[in-house]
Amino acid sequence: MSTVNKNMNVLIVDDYQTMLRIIKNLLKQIGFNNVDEAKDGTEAWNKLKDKDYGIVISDWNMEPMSGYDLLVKVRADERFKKLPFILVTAESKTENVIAAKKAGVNNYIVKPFNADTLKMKMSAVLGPF
Amino acid sequence: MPNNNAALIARLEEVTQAGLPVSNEALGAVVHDIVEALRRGTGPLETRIYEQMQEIVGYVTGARRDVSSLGGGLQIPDATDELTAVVAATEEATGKMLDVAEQLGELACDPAAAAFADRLNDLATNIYEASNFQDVTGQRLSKVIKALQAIETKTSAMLGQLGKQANVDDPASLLNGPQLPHNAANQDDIDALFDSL
Repeated sequence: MSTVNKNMNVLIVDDYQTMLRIIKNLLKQIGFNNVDEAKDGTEAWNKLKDKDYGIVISDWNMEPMSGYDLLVKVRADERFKKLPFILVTAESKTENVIAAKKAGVNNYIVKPFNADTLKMKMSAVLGPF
Repeated sequence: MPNNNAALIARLEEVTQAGLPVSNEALGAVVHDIVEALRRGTGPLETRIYEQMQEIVGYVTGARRDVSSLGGGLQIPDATDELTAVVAATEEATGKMLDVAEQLGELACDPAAAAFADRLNDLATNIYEASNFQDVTGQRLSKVIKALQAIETKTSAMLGQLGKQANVDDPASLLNGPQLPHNAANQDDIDALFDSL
């Protein structure tokens, strides 16, 4: 039985409008309809301060603040220490995964990805749904 | 001073043997020593210095010719414009595919299409998944465009080095972008690595 509240607010962060659109639609298909978008880490950080989010799904490679920088900033703030954070990125080198894990990411999805992978990784972080 | 001239010759030989690229620091030191040598007048040693300088100029000229020939006549600014246009075109095409996928999703919610709702949603999902390519392709091309722009800048100025090592202490050095398929880790590789940490 699902214990996940699918009405939670989800923040997706990517500088490619197309990718925001894809992730938003895939989330909608698995039942998450309250999705906000940010085009880089700075915008995401401002949104995080203004609203309660149940999970952040962020790209890595963005300017001026990357997804990695956002993750570090989030984990440095007591309010967001336990906020579920997934990186969805084309950065697939070992050094990237190690750096992300050390910085406190909850899971890591490599692009290109499919709907099943997104759902599986979200379940791993939030619980089964 | 003979000793200083000998030191200059040694320095020139060292730079020549090291080959290209010559660092700005090394080049600056050589120029400084040459100016000092010229102030002291010319002689057999200075003649050797000029010969060494000619050799260095030959290296630089050759390197410039080699780098120029890499383009095969293609102008780098034109190439970057072409690639930028490819990124824009694929983004536009992907946008149109997403329009279709969203319409399929809306159709799936129509009671009249209830019998096909699951199938329509599956088709929409397939389109969303396939559209991932645009992001990855865009990143790959952006990486190439940046590299071309960097080469253009470097060759025009004939300064600096053509590459640098990644510094893991610098977050910017982690922006590697998508890996080519034969080098790329797949999701299973990432999962195994992630779980092992």
